Amino acid sequence: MTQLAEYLQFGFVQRALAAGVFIALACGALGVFLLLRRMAMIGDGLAHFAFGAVGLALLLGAAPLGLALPLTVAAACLILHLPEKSAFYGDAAIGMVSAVGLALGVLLASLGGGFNVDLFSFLFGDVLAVSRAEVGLAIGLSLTVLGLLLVGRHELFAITFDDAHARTMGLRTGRWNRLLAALAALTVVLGIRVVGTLLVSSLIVFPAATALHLGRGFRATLALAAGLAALSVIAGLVLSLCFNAPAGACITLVNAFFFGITRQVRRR
Amino acid sequence: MTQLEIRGLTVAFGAQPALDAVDWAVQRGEFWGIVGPNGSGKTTLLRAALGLLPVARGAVRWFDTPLADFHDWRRLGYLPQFTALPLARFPATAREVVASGRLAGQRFPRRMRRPDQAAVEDLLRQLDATDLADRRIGELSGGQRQRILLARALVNHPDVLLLDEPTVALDPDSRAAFYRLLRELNAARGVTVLLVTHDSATVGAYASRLLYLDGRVVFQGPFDAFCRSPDMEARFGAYAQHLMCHQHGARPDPTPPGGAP
Repeated sequence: MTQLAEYLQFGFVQRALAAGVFIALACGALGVFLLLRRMAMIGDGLAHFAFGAVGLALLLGAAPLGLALPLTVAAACLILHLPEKSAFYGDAAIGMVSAVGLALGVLLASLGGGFNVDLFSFLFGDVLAVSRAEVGLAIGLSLTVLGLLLVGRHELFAITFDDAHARTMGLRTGRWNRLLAALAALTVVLGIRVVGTLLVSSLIVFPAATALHLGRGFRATLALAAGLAALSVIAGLVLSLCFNAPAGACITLVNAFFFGITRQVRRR
Repeated sequence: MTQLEIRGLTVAFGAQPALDAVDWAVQRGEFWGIVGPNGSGKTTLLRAALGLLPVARGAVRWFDTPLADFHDWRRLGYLPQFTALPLARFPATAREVVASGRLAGQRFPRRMRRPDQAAVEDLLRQLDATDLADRRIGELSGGQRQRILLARALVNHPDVLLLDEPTVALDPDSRAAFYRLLRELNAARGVTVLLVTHDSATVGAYASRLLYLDGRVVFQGPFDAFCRSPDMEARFGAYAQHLMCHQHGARPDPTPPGGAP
């Protein structure tokens, strides 16, 4: 306990907690909409694409998140656009964009002289290494995501529950779907700094899935998912510090633990 | 007053038209039963009228306004097909579902104000659903869910109610109660009802007008006229006419071809 208190005095731990908690709040709340819209795998697909974008940024010497952000938002729009214009399923579009992103990442890493430490940290996350500027960016963008979800919560609820009925109320559901995909891209790019491209979808899927088991009422479920995600980051970081284990993996396993516990509780 | 006017409506999925050159006009206070075999275009007609499907040809006007310019969505209440919704695991309460209907016609950012909340509570009371309000929608029985979804369609006190096979998941008692409620809304409040149904045995007891589709309009007009029409038997077979006209004794016997009643 004393050792933990000492850890909390370190700036890098405080920065990790601040960035991680805000990003988790956004991931958790957004995850509820994505799961209910059956878009859960979009997080995985976008994370893999973001890996390619980060590889490109590192090759060009650009800011990784700065370049990954617009490219991943564009990929999210492409994932929505492809099934509308072509005769294949939405999950096929996710798979294609995901595979292309991952292939680009590997190719660009190879061109840049193989896997280096920077790219490795994006693959598995390194929240304990976030800079002061990245913390500011993470908090700002997380608040943007949460603010948009808060302002548009009634519309998003309506299209999530019943898309056709929402259209008969005058809602332009295509625009809201694009917004949701763009927010997913934003959240994924932020999340890969915490848990990495390979595990970021867990921060979106697990808290939402757990909250859907427990929540009574939509607002309560959203709050619960955001809270569980934040709690998993705090608990995961504590475990990571105590056992000197990778933070991203600890956060994901804490989330899996929460989900397993709630499954057992619900069965009883 | 004409509330809905459809002219030459053609809807196609690929090369195959699902509906061909449909003309239909709905006046205020009418109760239409929309019937026909599977794939006859009943749901397609409702969805096209609401702008949910692209139209190959033809025009739809609501309250004398072309569909593309129509924004007064509060005047329409829509209850989609039961099976289309992923209700089982949805975390929303029944109250939240009904309240979502109040977003119709509002501009962004939509808000749930005190009058909206009062309208929701009022309607839940009227439909005897107050005790369901805090339960998850997925926990409700088929009949209870339909009552909640009907409440969502009615929460703005619409002029026209469009219902797509609303009694599919209901047992006979719930179905009868649902139809009684529709009849009361139609008779006492003047709500126009457009009811898509396979329940051809019952629809004649409630609907005053019939739209019979089979990819095109086969018959439209008063239910009585359908029952009296001698050529209907040749078109649909005696069984269909028997079900619709006689089962409940609510309609006069068909006139024998060429003979006196």
